[in-house]
This record gives sequence, C-alpha cells and structure tokens, in this order.
Amino acid sequence: MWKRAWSERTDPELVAACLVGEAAAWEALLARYQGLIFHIPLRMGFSQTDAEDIFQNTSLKLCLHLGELRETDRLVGWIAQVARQECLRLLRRKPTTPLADAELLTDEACAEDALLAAEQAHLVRTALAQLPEKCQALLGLLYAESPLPYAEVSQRLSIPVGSIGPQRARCLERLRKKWEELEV
Amino acid sequence: MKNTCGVSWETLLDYQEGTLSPPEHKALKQHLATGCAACEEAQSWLKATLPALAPPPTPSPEVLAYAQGLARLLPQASAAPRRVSLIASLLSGGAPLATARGASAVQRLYETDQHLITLWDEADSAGTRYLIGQVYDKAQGPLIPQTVTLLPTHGEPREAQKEGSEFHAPRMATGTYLLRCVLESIDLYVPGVEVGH
Repeated sequence: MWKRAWSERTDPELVAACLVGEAAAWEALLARYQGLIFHIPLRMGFSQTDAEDIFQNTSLKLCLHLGELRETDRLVGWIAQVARQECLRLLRRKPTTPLADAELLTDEACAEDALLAAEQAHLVRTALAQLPEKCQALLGLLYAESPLPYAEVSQRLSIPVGSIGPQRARCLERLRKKWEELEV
Repeated sequence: MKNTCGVSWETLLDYQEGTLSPPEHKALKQHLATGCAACEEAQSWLKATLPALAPPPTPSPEVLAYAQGLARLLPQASAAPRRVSLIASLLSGGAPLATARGASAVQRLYETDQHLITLWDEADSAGTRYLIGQVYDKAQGPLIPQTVTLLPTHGEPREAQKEGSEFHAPRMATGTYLLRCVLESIDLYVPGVEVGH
C-alpha cells in the first residue's frame, strides 16, 4: 500500500502520530527541527557543549509536552520559545557562561529578533530541502561556510563553469517560490 | 527572470555578491537609489536568505541519539489517558539542587515544586555503580513510586528494584541517564543524571 514518507507529513500529522507512540514520527519531527533547536543557543553565543545541553532539554520538553500543544501548526514558534527558555535556564545555572552578546538573550526585543531570524533560517532550509537534489547540491557548495570556487564546484557536480552562475540564479528563483509557498 | 523594471534576478544576485563589473555595479546602484520596490524586495530577500543556505551545525551523534531515544517516552496507543508529567530539574535549572561528595559516593538532591528526589550513587565491589534513591512529597513525606526507570543515552532502559520506600539499581554503568519515576498520579523526569561522575 502506498504510504507517504514521514518526512513529507505535516507537523500536525507528525504530532498526532507521536501521541500514539509512533517512534518514526518522533524521529521525523526531530530531524525537521533539530537544526532550529540547535541553531538558537549557538546564535545566542553558547558553546557547542552548552548548546548540546540545551538541545537535549528542549527535545525532552518537546517530547513530554506534545500532548498539551493546542496549535500544532505553530510548532516552530513554540519550539523556538522553549529553546530560548532553556538558554535562560542554563544562564541562571551557570551565570559565568561567556556569551558574545548576552543582550541577544536577555533583552526581550533582541531575543525576539534572534528567534525570528532562526525561524526564517529554518524556513529557508525547509524550502531548500524541497528543491531538486541538483539545486540543493549546487547551493550547498556555493553558500557553505567555506564556499568552493566555481572550478571545484564544476568538477564535483559535472557542470561547465559557465553554467554555474545561471543555474545558481535559477535555483535561487525556485527557492524563493518555494519559500513564498511555505510562508503562506 | 526579470523584475518589472527589467533588472534580471542574476544581476541582482551578482550585485549582492559583489561580482558585477564596476560599470554594471554603478548602474545598478543608481537604479536601486531610485527606490525600485521590486529590486529592493529581492535584495532584502537575498541578504536574509544566502547566509541561511549553509548547512546548519548539528549536535554530536551521541546527543542526537539521546534525543531520538526519547521516543521511548511517547505515550502508547493502548495506554491509559495521558498523565501529568513534571521535569524534576526545572526548578534548579537542569542541575541538582544540592550535591554532596564522599570518597567513592555522591549524593544529589533534585526538586520540583511538590517533590524532592534524592539519589545516592556509590562504587560497588564489581567496579560498577550502585544507585539508591527516594522520592518525597514535600508535604506528606516519602512516596513509593510504582516504577523507576533509568534510560541511558545508549542501550536498554534499566528498571530499579523497590526496597521499602527506596529504589535500588545495582551494577549501573557509568554514564548519563534520564530517570523516570512513575508515581500514583504523576510522572517525574530527571534528565542528565550523572552516574559515576
């Protein structure tokens, strides 16, 4: 029987499946949001180790409180808020934690902006994951933290150097359309 | 694709990345200064989006495995109506409220708004750890949990044995556990219980 992959299901569908004990739905939900959960403490300036602590506690809270969520289609906002609360808890527990910009976390307005940016980045990555693999690979190589030169991208993806610029533009156009669909 | 003003998406992208020739750069800069709404919108989208295209950092495989393993805590389809859960360490921010260390033993105290949980963790003769714990209602005194389970980051969960109002878990491997105490009307969770540290 044809069955949709867990990764293609909506948040409310995944939450409903989790609530009847479907482990695969939990893994899909986690795969969808692990980037967001982990990105928030890192963006706030926490170390990798502290960010992993926050990641674990946020995941636990998500797992235990899934059944209490009223608006499962607003999961992304809820997760972002919980991750921020866990950041604040860790800061209370270890007040000497060095943060590049503590205001980003403690100032309500700055924190809102940072969470919004993290949510936007999540939306971009969700849209990217829905593009053809060729586009994902091209954009991934061109916009990595250490981007590759065109010559190397050309070798890796077997496309002529001269086509990279136009293909990159087309992939970004598609990304923008997908992004607009998701934002609605 | 071109904007209604005739500027192509690729040109805007090259401008954003600083790869236009100086005359093209100057011409587009002048065009943007006229306040072209379509180009401004595209520019601000590119500015926000391009940095988000880099693959996001991920937690270590152990941490991811822990989070995936939380699926064991999901309610089961045939289970009784969902019970109230409390994460015990929340009041102390994820850490024990108090820790006392001896030569080969550590005692830790965790707290919720209604409960206290003590954990005594000592070395045994086999080189493993022996864990003894007790749960108290702050108003009524010791409680006898229905079950107490220790969930390791990797591997199978361990069920503790009941001895009076205490629970005992012998031959525990050193590591980090999630402790779950099922009480009559509530489940208590203590994440990040360090055994043997």
